Amino acid sequence: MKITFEADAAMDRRIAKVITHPAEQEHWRHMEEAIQQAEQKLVVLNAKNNRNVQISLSSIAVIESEDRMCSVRVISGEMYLLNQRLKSAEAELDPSFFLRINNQTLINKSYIKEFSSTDNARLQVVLTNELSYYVSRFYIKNFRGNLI
Amino acid sequence: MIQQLKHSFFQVFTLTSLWVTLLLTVFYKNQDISMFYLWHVAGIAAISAGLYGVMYNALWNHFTLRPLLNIAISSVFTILGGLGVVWLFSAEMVEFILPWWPGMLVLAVALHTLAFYVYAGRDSKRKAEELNRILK
Repeated sequence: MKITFEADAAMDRRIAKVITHPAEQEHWRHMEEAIQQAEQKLVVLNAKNNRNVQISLSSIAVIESEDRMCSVRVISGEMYLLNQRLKSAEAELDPSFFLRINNQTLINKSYIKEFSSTDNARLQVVLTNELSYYVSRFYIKNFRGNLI
Repeated sequence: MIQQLKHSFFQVFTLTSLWVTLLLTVFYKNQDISMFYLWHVAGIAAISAGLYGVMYNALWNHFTLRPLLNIAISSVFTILGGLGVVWLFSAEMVEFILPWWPGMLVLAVALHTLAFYVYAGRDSKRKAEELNRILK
């Protein structure tokens, strides 16, 4: 199969459009799986068995600073360690997907459910897995433009 | 964060130095001062910069502490810093205002409660609504 690429500036960065002949429709699922597998991965450490594993960036819900390392929580709930400081992890990740919400936390924009004000006058972000994190005012200015 | 706090420290330090110099010029223009007093002015500017450029900035913009903690930290440091500023300006003035410290503390706690609890609550609600509008 010959593959051609076209760029369209009007398209959302998170969407890739694949156009095929109608006869190829039965292979769409395989194509989608192949593309998903090619997605950017992050090498993290599984603390239970001390082994490195690759996880896709889209599965990461939250990255939190743990001194010289980071804890990585995937949306299904598993926790991993990333042998990097949060600052350098943030520099490597696409800012249009991962938002810094306070001095310790990066969240995946895709999993934001809503923002809410807490009883004790703080702003928090609630994720689709019902976990919530406090948002500091300083970072709101930075990520407001990336929320759309 | 550190860079931003450093920047606001020196911004407040410079403005306070100029402001205190202006006030001294207006109210004490005929009085001679020793060169040593310039360090008092620098001290006043440094305390103000520490309070208004660093402490309030960090508590309001960067940290996500509980309001109770914000109120306690800011009230205590404002009172101590304020007394320090007054002492650097004039030691007699501190002796004059010191008996009033309980009232000052009550006022500081009340005003900081208004800022870090009432106003911050409204601000958080407003920001949450605005961000949710962007999300939709």
